Amino acid sequence: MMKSLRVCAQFLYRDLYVFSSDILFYLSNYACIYPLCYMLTFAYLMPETVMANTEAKKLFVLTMLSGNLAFLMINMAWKLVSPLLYDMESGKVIQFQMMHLHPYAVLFEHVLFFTCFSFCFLAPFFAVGKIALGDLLDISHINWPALLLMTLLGCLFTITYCLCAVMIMKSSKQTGSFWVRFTIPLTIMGGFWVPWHTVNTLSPLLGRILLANPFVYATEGIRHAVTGSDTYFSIPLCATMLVIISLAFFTGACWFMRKKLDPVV
Amino acid sequence: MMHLNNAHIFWALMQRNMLLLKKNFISKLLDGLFTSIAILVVAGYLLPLVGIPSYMIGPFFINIALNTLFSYGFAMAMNILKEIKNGGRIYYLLTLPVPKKWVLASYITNFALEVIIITVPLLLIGAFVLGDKLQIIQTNWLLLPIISMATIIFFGLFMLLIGIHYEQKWFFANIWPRRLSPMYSFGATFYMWKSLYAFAPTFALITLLNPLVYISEGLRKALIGGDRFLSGWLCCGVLFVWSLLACITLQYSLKKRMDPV
Repeated sequence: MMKSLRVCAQFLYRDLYVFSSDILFYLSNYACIYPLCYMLTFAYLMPETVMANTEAKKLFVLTMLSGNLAFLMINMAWKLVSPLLYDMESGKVIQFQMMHLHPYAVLFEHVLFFTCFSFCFLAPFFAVGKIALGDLLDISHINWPALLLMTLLGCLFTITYCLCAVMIMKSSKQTGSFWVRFTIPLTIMGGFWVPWHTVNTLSPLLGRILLANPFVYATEGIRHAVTGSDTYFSIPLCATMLVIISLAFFTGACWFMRKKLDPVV
Repeated sequence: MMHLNNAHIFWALMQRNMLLLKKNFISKLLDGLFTSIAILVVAGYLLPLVGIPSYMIGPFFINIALNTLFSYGFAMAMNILKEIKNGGRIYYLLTLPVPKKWVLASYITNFALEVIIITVPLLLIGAFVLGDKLQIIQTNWLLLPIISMATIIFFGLFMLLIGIHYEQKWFFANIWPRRLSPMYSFGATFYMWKSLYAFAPTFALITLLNPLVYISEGLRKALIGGDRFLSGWLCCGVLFVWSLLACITLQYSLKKRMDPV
Protein backbone atom coordinates (compact mmCIF):
# COMPACT_ATOMS: atom_id res chain seq x y z
CA MET A 1 0.00 0.00 0.00
CA MET A 2 2.75 2.42 1.00
CA LYS A 3 4.71 1.49 -2.09
CA SER A 4 1.70 2.17 -4.32
CA LEU A 5 1.16 5.55 -2.68
CA ARG A 6 4.82 6.39 -3.20
CA VAL A 7 4.66 5.41 -6.89
CA CYS A 8 1.43 7.39 -7.26
CA ALA A 9 3.13 10.43 -5.72
CA GLN A 10 6.02 10.02 -8.13
CA PHE A 11 3.65 9.92 -11.09
CA LEU A 12 1.93 13.03 -9.78
CA TYR A 13 5.31 14.72 -9.58
CA ARG A 14 6.09 13.56 -13.12
CA ASP A 15 2.82 15.02 -14.43
CA LEU A 16 3.52 18.26 -12.65
CA TYR A 17 6.97 18.38 -14.24
CA VAL A 18 5.62 17.60 -17.73
CA PHE A 19 2.75 20.08 -17.55
CA SER A 20 4.80 22.82 -15.90
CA SER A 21 6.46 23.49 -19.25
CA ASP A 22 3.02 24.28 -20.71
CA ILE A 23 1.75 26.45 -17.87
CA LEU A 24 2.10 29.65 -19.89
CA PHE A 25 0.12 28.11 -22.72
CA TYR A 26 -2.70 27.02 -20.41
CA LEU A 27 -2.62 30.35 -18.62
CA SER A 28 -2.91 32.37 -21.81
CA ASN A 29 -5.49 30.15 -23.50
CA TYR A 30 -7.75 29.07 -20.63
CA ALA A 31 -7.37 31.90 -18.15
CA CYS A 32 -7.16 34.78 -20.62
CA ILE A 33 -8.11 34.28 -24.28
CA TYR A 34 -11.11 31.98 -23.89
CA PRO A 35 -12.63 33.84 -20.91
CA LEU A 36 -12.13 37.22 -22.58
CA CYS A 37 -13.66 36.01 -25.85
CA TYR A 38 -16.67 34.57 -24.07
CA MET A 39 -17.11 37.51 -21.76
CA LEU A 40 -16.90 40.13 -24.46
CA THR A 41 -19.30 38.24 -26.68
CA PHE A 42 -21.86 36.79 -24.31
CA ALA A 43 -21.68 39.15 -21.36
CA TYR A 44 -21.07 42.43 -23.12
CA LEU A 45 -21.73 42.64 -26.86
CA MET A 46 -24.67 40.26 -27.09
CA PRO A 47 -26.77 41.65 -24.20
CA GLU A 48 -25.87 45.27 -25.00
CA THR A 49 -26.81 44.98 -28.68
CA VAL A 50 -29.78 42.67 -28.39
CA MET A 51 -31.49 43.20 -25.04
CA ALA A 52 -33.29 46.29 -23.80
CA ASN A 53 -34.37 45.43 -20.25
CA THR A 54 -31.57 46.27 -17.76
CA GLU A 55 -32.61 43.73 -15.11
CA ALA A 56 -32.95 40.94 -17.68
CA LYS A 57 -29.57 41.98 -19.04
CA LYS A 58 -27.88 41.62 -15.64
CA LEU A 59 -29.33 38.17 -15.08
CA PHE A 60 -28.50 37.14 -18.64
CA VAL A 61 -24.84 38.10 -18.14
CA LEU A 62 -24.54 35.89 -15.04
CA THR A 63 -26.46 33.06 -16.69
CA MET A 64 -24.26 33.13 -19.76
CA LEU A 65 -21.00 33.37 -17.82
CA SER A 66 -21.94 30.34 -15.73
CA GLY A 67 -22.64 28.39 -18.93
CA ASN A 68 -19.37 29.60 -20.39
CA LEU A 69 -17.44 28.42 -17.35
CA ALA A 70 -18.99 24.96 -17.70
CA PHE A 71 -18.06 24.91 -21.39
CA LEU A 72 -14.49 25.92 -20.57
CA MET A 73 -14.33 23.05 -18.08
CA ILE A 74 -15.21 20.45 -20.68
CA ASN A 75 -12.94 22.12 -23.20
CA MET A 76 -9.95 22.05 -20.89
CA ALA A 77 -10.77 18.57 -19.64
CA TRP A 78 -10.64 17.27 -23.21
CA LYS A 79 -7.39 19.09 -23.86
CA LEU A 80 -5.84 17.37 -20.84
CA VAL A 81 -7.35 13.92 -21.19
CA SER A 82 -7.30 13.37 -24.98
CA PRO A 83 -3.52 12.74 -25.18
CA LEU A 84 -4.21 9.56 -23.16
CA LEU A 85 -6.11 8.25 -26.19
CA TYR A 86 -3.08 8.67 -28.44
CA ASP A 87 -0.90 7.32 -25.66
CA MET A 88 -3.01 4.18 -25.33
CA GLU A 89 -3.02 3.69 -29.10
CA SER A 90 0.73 3.70 -29.30
CA GLY A 91 1.34 2.18 -25.85
CA LYS A 92 3.86 4.63 -24.47
CA VAL A 93 3.80 6.24 -21.03
CA ILE A 94 0.56 4.76 -19.76
CA GLN A 95 1.73 1.19 -20.44
CA PHE A 96 4.88 1.90 -18.49
CA GLN A 97 2.88 3.37 -15.61
CA MET A 98 0.62 0.34 -15.51
CA MET A 99 3.61 -1.91 -15.01
CA HIS A 100 4.35 -0.13 -11.74
CA LEU A 101 0.91 0.67 -10.44
CA HIS A 102 -2.52 -0.92 -10.62
CA PRO A 103 -4.28 0.32 -13.81
CA TYR A 104 -7.17 1.77 -11.80
CA ALA A 105 -4.73 3.62 -9.59
CA VAL A 106 -3.08 5.04 -12.72
CA LEU A 107 -6.44 6.37 -13.83
CA PHE A 108 -7.14 7.73 -10.36
CA GLU A 109 -3.80 9.54 -10.37
CA HIS A 110 -4.67 11.14 -13.72
CA VAL A 111 -8.10 12.21 -12.47
CA LEU A 112 -6.57 13.72 -9.35
CA PHE A 113 -3.89 15.63 -11.22
CA PHE A 114 -6.05 16.84 -14.10
CA THR A 115 -8.84 17.97 -11.75
CA CYS A 116 -6.48 20.04 -9.63
CA PHE A 117 -4.65 21.36 -12.67
CA SER A 118 -7.76 22.53 -14.50
CA PHE A 119 -9.24 23.92 -11.28
CA CYS A 120 -6.19 26.17 -10.84
CA PHE A 121 -6.80 27.79 -14.23
CA LEU A 122 -10.58 28.00 -14.12
CA ALA A 123 -11.09 29.11 -10.52
CA PRO A 124 -10.29 32.78 -11.29
CA PHE A 125 -12.85 32.89 -14.15
CA PHE A 126 -15.24 35.33 -12.45
CA ALA A 127 -12.36 37.39 -11.07
CA VAL A 128 -11.06 37.81 -14.63
CA GLY A 129 -14.64 38.65 -15.63
CA LYS A 130 -14.83 41.39 -13.02
CA ILE A 131 -11.57 42.90 -14.22
CA ALA A 132 -12.68 42.76 -17.85
CA LEU A 133 -16.30 43.82 -17.46
CA GLY A 134 -16.15 46.13 -14.44
CA ASP A 135 -19.57 47.35 -13.34
CA LEU A 136 -21.35 45.28 -15.96
CA LEU A 137 -20.70 42.18 -13.91
CA ASP A 138 -22.46 42.14 -10.58
CA ILE A 139 -20.48 39.87 -8.27
CA SER A 140 -22.07 41.10 -5.04
CA HIS A 141 -24.15 37.93 -4.68
CA ILE A 142 -21.37 35.46 -5.36
CA ASN A 143 -20.85 32.87 -2.67
CA TRP A 144 -17.13 32.33 -3.27
CA PRO A 145 -16.62 29.10 -1.26
CA ALA A 146 -19.64 27.57 -3.02
CA LEU A 147 -18.41 28.78 -6.42
CA LEU A 148 -14.95 27.28 -5.81
CA LEU A 149 -16.53 24.02 -4.69
CA MET A 150 -18.73 23.88 -7.78
CA THR A 151 -15.77 24.70 -10.02
CA LEU A 152 -13.74 21.91 -8.43
CA LEU A 153 -16.56 19.39 -8.73
CA GLY A 154 -17.32 20.57 -12.26
CA CYS A 155 -13.66 19.96 -13.17
CA LEU A 156 -13.84 16.52 -11.54
CA PHE A 157 -16.99 15.63 -13.47
CA THR A 158 -15.68 16.83 -16.85
CA ILE A 159 -12.35 15.03 -16.37
CA THR A 160 -14.04 11.73 -15.51
CA TYR A 161 -16.52 12.21 -18.38
CA CYS A 162 -13.68 12.70 -20.88
CA LEU A 163 -11.69 9.85 -19.36
CA CYS A 164 -14.64 7.51 -19.74
CA ALA A 165 -15.10 8.66 -23.35
CA VAL A 166 -11.41 8.10 -24.09
CA MET A 167 -11.66 4.56 -22.76
CA ILE A 168 -14.79 3.84 -24.79
CA MET A 169 -13.38 5.18 -28.07
CA LYS A 170 -11.76 2.61 -30.29
CA SER A 171 -9.48 5.10 -32.03
CA SER A 172 -8.63 8.78 -32.17
CA LYS A 173 -10.67 9.03 -35.39
CA GLN A 174 -13.83 9.02 -33.27
CA THR A 175 -12.98 12.20 -31.38
CA GLY A 176 -14.81 14.50 -33.84
CA SER A 177 -18.01 12.48 -33.59
CA PHE A 178 -17.70 12.36 -29.81
CA TRP A 179 -17.76 16.17 -29.74
CA VAL A 180 -20.51 16.86 -32.25
CA ARG A 181 -22.78 13.96 -31.31
CA PHE A 182 -22.45 14.00 -27.54
CA THR A 183 -20.49 16.75 -25.89
CA ILE A 184 -21.73 19.85 -27.74
CA PRO A 185 -25.44 18.87 -27.70
CA LEU A 186 -25.16 17.88 -24.03
CA THR A 187 -23.49 21.17 -23.20
CA ILE A 188 -25.98 23.28 -25.17
CA MET A 189 -28.94 21.46 -23.64
CA GLY A 190 -27.21 21.30 -20.27
CA GLY A 191 -27.74 24.93 -19.47
CA PHE A 192 -25.04 26.58 -21.52
CA TRP A 193 -27.51 29.22 -22.70
CA VAL A 194 -30.62 28.74 -20.64
CA PRO A 195 -31.14 27.61 -17.03
CA TRP A 196 -33.01 24.42 -16.26
CA HIS A 197 -36.10 26.09 -14.76
CA THR A 198 -36.66 28.00 -18.02
CA VAL A 199 -36.63 24.75 -19.97
CA ASN A 200 -38.95 23.23 -17.40
CA THR A 201 -41.36 26.15 -17.81
CA LEU A 202 -41.48 25.60 -21.56
CA SER A 203 -41.81 21.85 -21.40
CA PRO A 204 -41.94 19.90 -18.13
CA LEU A 205 -41.26 16.72 -20.10
CA LEU A 206 -38.07 18.14 -21.62
CA GLY A 207 -37.15 19.47 -18.19
CA ARG A 208 -37.48 16.00 -16.69
CA ILE A 209 -35.46 14.45 -19.52
CA LEU A 210 -32.72 17.03 -18.99
CA LEU A 211 -32.36 15.94 -15.37
CA ALA A 212 -30.45 12.99 -16.84
CA ASN A 213 -27.96 15.41 -18.41
CA PRO A 214 -25.03 15.74 -15.98
CA PHE A 215 -24.03 19.15 -17.37
CA VAL A 216 -27.24 20.57 -15.89
CA TYR A 217 -25.93 20.04 -12.35
CA ALA A 218 -22.64 21.74 -13.18
CA THR A 219 -24.28 24.84 -14.68
CA GLU A 220 -27.07 25.02 -12.09
CA GLY A 221 -24.63 24.73 -9.22
CA ILE A 222 -22.44 27.50 -10.61
CA ARG A 223 -25.49 29.69 -11.19
CA HIS A 224 -26.72 29.19 -7.66
CA ALA A 225 -23.29 30.06 -6.29
CA VAL A 226 -23.05 33.15 -8.50
CA THR A 227 -26.54 34.60 -8.06
CA GLY A 228 -27.57 33.18 -4.69
CA SER A 229 -31.01 32.68 -6.17
CA ASP A 230 -33.16 29.71 -5.16
CA THR A 231 -34.56 29.37 -8.67
CA TYR A 232 -31.53 27.18 -9.42
CA PHE A 233 -30.76 23.76 -7.92
CA SER A 234 -29.25 23.96 -4.45
CA ILE A 235 -25.49 23.60 -3.97
CA PRO A 236 -25.72 20.39 -1.86
CA LEU A 237 -27.92 18.74 -4.49
CA CYS A 238 -25.60 19.72 -7.36
CA ALA A 239 -22.49 18.76 -5.38
CA THR A 240 -23.92 15.36 -4.48
CA MET A 241 -25.05 14.69 -8.04
CA LEU A 242 -21.69 15.73 -9.50
CA VAL A 243 -19.83 13.44 -7.10
CA ILE A 244 -22.13 10.50 -7.91
CA ILE A 245 -21.87 11.15 -11.67
CA SER A 246 -18.07 11.48 -11.44
CA LEU A 247 -17.89 8.18 -9.57
CA ALA A 248 -20.07 6.55 -12.21
CA PHE A 249 -17.90 7.88 -15.04
CA PHE A 250 -14.74 6.82 -13.22
CA THR A 251 -16.13 3.32 -12.74
CA GLY A 252 -17.08 3.28 -16.41
CA ALA A 253 -13.59 4.41 -17.37
CA CYS A 254 -12.05 1.59 -15.29
CA TRP A 255 -14.39 -0.98 -16.78
CA PHE A 256 -13.79 0.08 -20.38
CA MET A 257 -10.06 0.32 -19.81
CA ARG A 258 -10.07 -3.27 -18.57
CA LYS A 259 -11.91 -4.29 -21.73
CA LYS A 260 -9.42 -2.35 -23.81
CA LEU A 261 -6.43 -3.96 -22.16
CA ASP A 262 -7.85 -7.45 -22.33
CA PRO A 263 -10.63 -7.83 -24.93
CA VAL A 264 -11.40 -11.37 -23.68
CA VAL A 265 -12.70 -10.07 -20.33
CA MET B 1 -5.81 18.66 -74.29
CA MET B 2 -3.87 19.13 -71.04
CA HIS B 3 -6.91 20.72 -69.38
CA LEU B 4 -9.04 17.82 -70.51
CA ASN B 5 -6.59 15.40 -68.95
CA ASN B 6 -6.59 17.40 -65.71
CA ALA B 7 -10.38 17.43 -65.67
CA HIS B 8 -10.41 13.69 -66.23
CA ILE B 9 -8.16 13.04 -63.22
CA PHE B 10 -10.13 15.52 -61.16
CA TRP B 11 -13.34 13.71 -62.03
CA ALA B 12 -11.79 10.39 -61.01
CA LEU B 13 -10.86 11.93 -57.65
CA MET B 14 -14.38 13.27 -57.26
CA GLN B 15 -15.87 9.88 -58.00
CA ARG B 16 -13.74 8.40 -55.26
CA ASN B 17 -14.83 11.15 -52.85
CA MET B 18 -18.49 10.63 -53.70
CA LEU B 19 -18.14 6.92 -53.12
CA LEU B 20 -16.68 7.64 -49.70
CA LEU B 21 -19.41 10.15 -48.94
CA LYS B 22 -22.08 7.64 -49.94
CA LYS B 23 -20.51 5.12 -47.58
CA ASN B 24 -20.28 7.56 -44.67
CA PHE B 25 -23.47 9.51 -45.34
CA ILE B 26 -25.40 8.34 -42.27
CA SER B 27 -22.45 8.89 -40.00
CA LYS B 28 -21.89 12.40 -41.40
CA LEU B 29 -25.58 13.22 -41.11
CA LEU B 30 -25.60 12.13 -37.48
CA ASP B 31 -22.56 14.32 -36.86
CA GLY B 32 -24.55 17.34 -37.96
CA LEU B 33 -27.95 16.31 -36.64
CA PHE B 34 -27.57 16.32 -32.85
CA THR B 35 -25.94 19.71 -32.54
CA SER B 36 -28.40 21.19 -35.04
CA ILE B 37 -31.36 19.94 -33.00
CA ALA B 38 -29.85 21.42 -29.86
CA ILE B 39 -29.28 24.79 -31.57
CA LEU B 40 -32.79 24.70 -33.02
CA VAL B 41 -34.43 24.10 -29.64
CA VAL B 42 -32.34 26.74 -27.90
CA ALA B 43 -32.56 29.40 -30.63
CA GLY B 44 -36.20 28.84 -31.51
CA TYR B 45 -37.81 28.16 -28.16
CA LEU B 46 -35.55 28.80 -25.17
CA LEU B 47 -33.67 32.03 -25.85
CA PRO B 48 -36.84 34.14 -26.16
CA LEU B 49 -37.71 33.00 -22.63
CA VAL B 50 -34.56 34.62 -21.20
CA GLY B 51 -35.20 37.99 -22.81
CA ILE B 52 -33.75 37.61 -26.30
CA PRO B 53 -36.13 39.36 -28.74
CA SER B 54 -38.02 37.09 -31.12
CA TYR B 55 -36.55 38.82 -34.20
CA MET B 56 -33.19 37.25 -33.23
CA ILE B 57 -34.49 33.69 -33.77
CA GLY B 58 -33.79 33.89 -37.50
CA PRO B 59 -30.24 35.24 -37.16
CA PHE B 60 -29.44 32.60 -34.51
CA PHE B 61 -30.94 29.90 -36.70
CA ILE B 62 -28.19 30.57 -39.26
CA ASN B 63 -25.74 29.28 -36.63
CA ILE B 64 -26.82 25.76 -37.61
CA ALA B 65 -25.11 26.29 -40.96
CA LEU B 66 -22.09 27.90 -39.32
CA ASN B 67 -21.80 25.05 -36.88
CA THR B 68 -21.81 22.49 -39.70
CA LEU B 69 -19.22 24.51 -41.59
CA PHE B 70 -16.92 24.64 -38.58
CA SER B 71 -17.48 20.99 -37.74
CA TYR B 72 -16.80 19.53 -41.22
CA GLY B 73 -14.17 22.13 -42.01
CA PHE B 74 -12.26 21.33 -38.84
CA ALA B 75 -12.47 17.61 -39.61
CA MET B 76 -10.99 18.31 -43.05
CA ALA B 77 -8.20 20.44 -41.55
CA MET B 78 -7.39 17.64 -39.08
CA ASN B 79 -7.32 15.07 -41.88
CA ILE B 80 -4.98 17.05 -44.07
CA LEU B 81 -2.76 17.78 -41.08
CA LYS B 82 -2.52 14.07 -40.29
CA GLU B 83 -1.95 13.22 -43.95
CA ILE B 84 0.97 15.61 -44.11
CA LYS B 85 2.40 14.48 -40.78
CA ASN B 86 2.06 10.74 -41.40
CA GLY B 87 2.83 10.73 -45.12
CA GLY B 88 -0.75 9.94 -46.11
CA ARG B 89 -2.95 10.33 -49.17
CA ILE B 90 -1.96 13.88 -50.08
CA TYR B 91 1.55 12.70 -51.02
CA TYR B 92 0.04 10.24 -53.45
CA LEU B 93 -2.29 12.88 -54.88
CA LEU B 94 0.57 15.29 -55.41
CA THR B 95 2.36 12.72 -57.55
CA LEU B 96 -0.57 12.63 -59.98
CA PRO B 97 0.08 14.33 -63.33
CA VAL B 98 -2.09 17.35 -62.51
CA PRO B 99 -1.15 20.79 -61.15
CA LYS B 100 -1.50 20.88 -57.37
CA LYS B 101 -4.33 23.41 -57.51
CA TRP B 102 -6.48 20.66 -59.00
CA VAL B 103 -5.64 18.42 -56.04
CA LEU B 104 -6.57 21.21 -53.63
CA ALA B 105 -9.74 21.82 -55.63
CA SER B 106 -10.71 18.17 -55.15
CA TYR B 107 -10.49 18.60 -51.37
CA ILE B 108 -12.61 21.74 -51.49
CA THR B 109 -15.18 20.24 -53.82
CA ASN B 110 -15.47 17.26 -51.53
CA PHE B 111 -15.98 19.58 -48.57
CA ALA B 112 -18.60 21.55 -50.52
CA LEU B 113 -20.48 18.37 -51.40
CA GLU B 114 -20.47 17.20 -47.78
CA VAL B 115 -21.69 20.53 -46.47
CA ILE B 116 -24.42 20.92 -49.09
CA ILE B 117 -25.74 17.37 -48.75
CA ILE B 118 -25.83 17.53 -44.96
CA THR B 119 -26.69 21.16 -44.25
CA VAL B 120 -29.46 21.78 -46.77
CA PRO B 121 -31.81 19.10 -45.32
CA LEU B 122 -31.01 20.23 -41.78
CA LEU B 123 -31.76 23.87 -42.63
CA LEU B 124 -34.95 22.97 -44.49
CA ILE B 125 -36.24 20.81 -41.64
CA GLY B 126 -35.25 23.51 -39.14
CA ALA B 127 -37.03 26.20 -41.13
CA PHE B 128 -40.11 24.00 -41.43
CA VAL B 129 -40.16 23.31 -37.67
CA LEU B 130 -39.72 26.95 -36.71
CA GLY B 131 -42.15 28.26 -39.35
CA ASP B 132 -43.30 31.81 -38.63
CA LYS B 133 -40.91 32.13 -35.72
CA LEU B 134 -38.12 32.78 -38.22
CA GLN B 135 -39.85 36.06 -39.21
CA ILE B 136 -38.62 35.88 -42.79
CA ILE B 137 -39.19 39.20 -44.55
CA GLN B 138 -38.15 38.28 -48.06
CA THR B 139 -35.81 35.48 -49.09
CA ASN B 140 -33.54 36.50 -51.95
CA TRP B 141 -33.47 33.33 -54.06
CA LEU B 142 -30.81 34.70 -56.37
CA LEU B 143 -28.47 35.77 -53.60
CA LEU B 144 -28.96 32.67 -51.43
CA PRO B 145 -27.16 30.11 -53.65
CA ILE B 146 -24.43 32.61 -54.54
CA ILE B 147 -23.63 33.59 -50.97
CA SER B 148 -23.87 29.93 -49.90
CA MET B 149 -21.32 28.91 -52.53
CA ALA B 150 -19.05 31.84 -51.67
CA THR B 151 -19.27 30.81 -48.01
CA ILE B 152 -18.49 27.16 -48.69
CA ILE B 153 -15.59 27.93 -51.00
CA PHE B 154 -14.07 30.39 -48.55
CA PHE B 155 -14.51 27.99 -45.65
CA GLY B 156 -13.02 25.11 -47.61
CA LEU B 157 -10.00 27.19 -48.55
CA PHE B 158 -9.61 28.58 -45.06
CA MET B 159 -9.78 25.21 -43.30
CA LEU B 160 -7.43 23.65 -45.82
CA LEU B 161 -5.09 26.55 -45.26
CA ILE B 162 -4.97 26.18 -41.49
CA GLY B 163 -4.51 22.42 -41.83
CA ILE B 164 -1.53 22.90 -44.13
CA HIS B 165 -0.04 26.05 -42.70
CA TYR B 166 0.32 25.19 -39.01
CA GLU B 167 2.52 22.61 -37.34
CA GLN B 168 0.66 19.75 -35.69
CA LYS B 169 1.66 20.65 -32.13
CA TRP B 170 0.68 24.29 -32.50
CA PHE B 171 -2.51 23.34 -34.31
CA PHE B 172 -3.77 21.00 -31.60
CA ALA B 173 -2.83 23.36 -28.81
CA ASN B 174 -3.87 26.72 -30.18
CA ILE B 175 -6.08 26.60 -33.23
CA TRP B 176 -9.35 26.88 -31.30
CA PRO B 177 -8.43 29.34 -28.58
CA ARG B 178 -6.28 31.59 -30.77
CA ARG B 179 -7.89 31.44 -34.20
CA LEU B 180 -11.29 29.77 -34.48
CA SER B 181 -12.86 30.76 -31.18
CA PRO B 182 -12.17 34.52 -31.56
CA MET B 183 -13.25 34.28 -35.19
CA TYR B 184 -16.54 32.65 -34.15
CA SER B 185 -17.12 34.91 -31.14
CA PHE B 186 -16.54 38.18 -33.01
CA GLY B 187 -18.02 37.05 -36.32
CA ALA B 188 -21.44 38.64 -35.72
CA THR B 189 -22.77 35.17 -34.97
CA PHE B 190 -24.51 36.11 -31.73
CA TYR B 191 -25.57 39.63 -32.67
CA MET B 192 -26.11 41.66 -35.82
CA TRP B 193 -23.33 43.79 -37.17
CA LYS B 194 -25.48 46.90 -37.55
CA SER B 195 -26.56 46.69 -33.89
CA LEU B 196 -22.91 46.40 -32.92
CA TYR B 197 -22.06 49.39 -35.07
CA ALA B 198 -24.74 51.45 -33.34
CA PHE B 199 -23.38 50.42 -29.94
CA ALA B 200 -19.59 50.36 -30.53
CA PRO B 201 -18.70 51.78 -33.97
CA THR B 202 -14.90 51.45 -33.70
CA PHE B 203 -15.04 47.86 -32.56
CA ALA B 204 -17.63 47.08 -35.23
CA LEU B 205 -15.32 48.48 -37.91
CA ILE B 206 -12.45 46.34 -36.59
CA THR B 207 -14.62 43.23 -36.79
CA LEU B 208 -15.06 43.88 -40.51
CA LEU B 209 -11.62 42.31 -40.85
CA ASN B 210 -13.21 39.02 -39.77
CA PRO B 211 -14.54 37.10 -42.80
CA LEU B 212 -17.13 35.35 -40.64
CA VAL B 213 -18.97 38.67 -40.32
CA TYR B 214 -19.69 38.59 -44.06
CA ILE B 215 -20.72 34.94 -43.90
CA SER B 216 -23.18 35.45 -41.02
CA GLU B 217 -24.57 38.69 -42.37
CA GLY B 218 -24.68 37.54 -45.99
CA LEU B 219 -26.54 34.34 -45.17
CA ARG B 220 -28.98 36.26 -42.97
CA LYS B 221 -29.58 38.87 -45.64
CA ALA B 222 -30.23 36.21 -48.26
CA LEU B 223 -32.46 34.02 -46.11
CA ILE B 224 -34.32 36.55 -43.96
CA GLY B 225 -34.03 39.82 -45.87
CA GLY B 226 -34.87 43.27 -44.53
CA ASP B 227 -32.53 46.12 -43.70
CA ARG B 228 -31.10 44.83 -40.43
CA PHE B 229 -28.10 43.20 -42.12
CA LEU B 230 -25.16 44.17 -44.30
CA SER B 231 -25.71 44.13 -48.05
CA GLY B 232 -25.65 40.59 -49.40
CA TRP B 233 -23.76 41.51 -52.57
CA LEU B 234 -21.13 43.36 -50.56
CA CYS B 235 -20.68 40.21 -48.46
CA CYS B 236 -20.29 38.14 -51.64
CA GLY B 237 -17.67 40.53 -52.98
CA VAL B 238 -15.65 40.62 -49.79
CA LEU B 239 -15.83 36.83 -49.46
CA PHE B 240 -14.53 36.56 -53.00
CA VAL B 241 -11.54 38.74 -52.08
CA TRP B 242 -10.93 36.69 -48.92
CA SER B 243 -11.13 33.48 -50.94
CA LEU B 244 -8.58 34.83 -53.40
CA LEU B 245 -6.24 35.73 -50.55
CA ALA B 246 -6.74 32.32 -48.95
CA CYS B 247 -6.05 30.66 -52.31
CA ILE B 248 -2.75 32.48 -52.79
CA THR B 249 -1.66 31.81 -49.21
CA LEU B 250 -2.70 28.18 -49.53
CA GLN B 251 -0.50 27.58 -52.57
CA TYR B 252 2.41 29.30 -50.85
CA SER B 253 1.86 27.34 -47.59
CA LEU B 254 1.65 24.02 -49.39
CA LYS B 255 4.86 24.72 -51.25
CA LYS B 256 6.58 25.71 -48.02
CA ARG B 257 5.24 22.67 -46.18
CA MET B 258 6.40 20.23 -48.81
CA ASP B 259 9.77 21.86 -49.21
CA PRO B 260 10.74 23.84 -46.10
CA VAL B 261 14.02 24.90 -47.74
